[in-house]
Amino acid sequence: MSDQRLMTCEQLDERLPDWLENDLDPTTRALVEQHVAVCARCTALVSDLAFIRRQAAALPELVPSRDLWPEIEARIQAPVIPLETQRAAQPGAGRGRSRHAWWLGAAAAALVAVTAGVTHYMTKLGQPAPTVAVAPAVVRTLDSARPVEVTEPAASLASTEAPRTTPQPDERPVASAPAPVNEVEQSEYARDVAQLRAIVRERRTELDSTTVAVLEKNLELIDRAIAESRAALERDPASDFLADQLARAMTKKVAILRTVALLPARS
Amino acid sequence: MHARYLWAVALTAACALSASAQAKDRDRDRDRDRDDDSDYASRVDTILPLGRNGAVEIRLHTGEIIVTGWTRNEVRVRGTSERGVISIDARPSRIDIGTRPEHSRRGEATVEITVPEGTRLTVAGSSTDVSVRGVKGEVEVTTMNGDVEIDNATSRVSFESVSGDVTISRVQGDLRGEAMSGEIGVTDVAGEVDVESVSGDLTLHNVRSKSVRAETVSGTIEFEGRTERGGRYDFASHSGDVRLLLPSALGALISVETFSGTIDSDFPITLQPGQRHGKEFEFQVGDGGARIGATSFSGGIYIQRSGTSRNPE
Repeated sequence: MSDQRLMTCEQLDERLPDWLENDLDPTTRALVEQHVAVCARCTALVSDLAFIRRQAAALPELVPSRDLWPEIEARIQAPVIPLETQRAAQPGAGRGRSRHAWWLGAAAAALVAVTAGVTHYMTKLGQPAPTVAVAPAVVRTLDSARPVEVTEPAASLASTEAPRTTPQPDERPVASAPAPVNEVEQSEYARDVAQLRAIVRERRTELDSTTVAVLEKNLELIDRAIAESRAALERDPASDFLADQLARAMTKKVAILRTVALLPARS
Repeated sequence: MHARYLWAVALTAACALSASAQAKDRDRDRDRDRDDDSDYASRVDTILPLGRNGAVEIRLHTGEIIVTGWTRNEVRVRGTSERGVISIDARPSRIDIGTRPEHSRRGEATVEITVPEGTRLTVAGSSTDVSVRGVKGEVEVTTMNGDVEIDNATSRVSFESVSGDVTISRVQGDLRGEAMSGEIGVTDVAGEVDVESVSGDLTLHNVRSKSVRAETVSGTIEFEGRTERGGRYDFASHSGDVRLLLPSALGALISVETFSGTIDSDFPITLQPGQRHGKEFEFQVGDGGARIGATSFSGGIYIQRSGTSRNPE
């Protein structure tokens, strides 16, 4: 009981986050709770926090609408592109810690931008093929995403080839599309992955050489898987299995690029 | 008077000699310590209090992290660092351990920590081997290059690794993790399992779970464990083999599919009309209570009966 009187409101404030996270040891927890029981100010504070938590827990799960995406994307990407331009204008500038921080910030922003687009694209790609017959049509195939795919030299982290952020108009007739993915979505995917690649390419010198070698090897494996899946899918466009294989490999590729973009520097 | 003076001189001389001897001893000790420490810029050996459900976070750039659980409500930290200083930030319910760089450079460090059982543990390293044993709490490990061993954890275990092998055993709780090129070996897990790799093999033995997902691009997958009614078990590799060792008294609806690989099953495959499409099979074994899916683009899929003694149902 004497200990209880020793705990001041300031001390309680310090322990409050841990108390809310249930991180306190039993003794300290008991002291906090004893203090709250006799202190009007802290009782009100805890009551407010409990109310906020209840309200937050009762909020419905929000699913971002695709319609919001262009605006969000435009805002998020804004700081990325000018920085790229600025860096190009000042070669060698900003090395060291500030540069690392810059890349982490840029990477984080780009990753946020990329995630939604790619997820949306993959979701559509992984959808079962339409059950209705699809007449032969001229559609843009997944090859339009070539800037980021396997057989390209860009598969290497060492590549200095600039990313082709604008998809090439590689149109060709196919029997049917593997999934109803439109041109805009494909170009978004291509652009997103190209942005990730640009980040990864820049970060190459910051990373440990062993790590870079491992990443390159694994990206090649994934690119091969993408190429094989795509080739098979072109022969059997109605196959859900092959569409799923392709989606899986492409998702994995994005995941790896994302991982690389956020890996800590070697020093 | 004269005798007293002589006695005082003698006493003073004796004290001086003694002090000199003690100083020499201290110098010798100091020299010995200095020799021991000459390879290290920082050395720590301390014991700190921590509650039973406290949290410990360790971040080390290069070196080795060894964590062991014990029954005391204390944390013992022993470590050495070649360059930089081992830093400890201790609060009643949380301890953070790391290394501060010296002149922007870090050296290799080794940290051995003993924590109360039930501690929530977070470990992060760059080129760091990590061993966690007997913590019996939630464990999260992230490394870039380095092997990871986790034994005897509860609640939840998660890991991420770029190139090291990951070995996990005796987990009473959910397991989730990714390794890029390293192998993932899992033994004796009772909880949900979700593991992924790009080129590393995935080996899951003695898994008792209602939910298992293992996915790799070019690695092989081997699963041996019990299935439960209503459970879901998914295995996918692009170019590696998928090998499932299942109990003889299995009850499952099994879906297997490969593009160019082979399929082989110890269990009789009874196809319904119209069920076969390319190399896609769906068949029921026993009461069909669990759902098992195995796919590989170009690898083989092998479904085998495990020995009853190895996998009692």
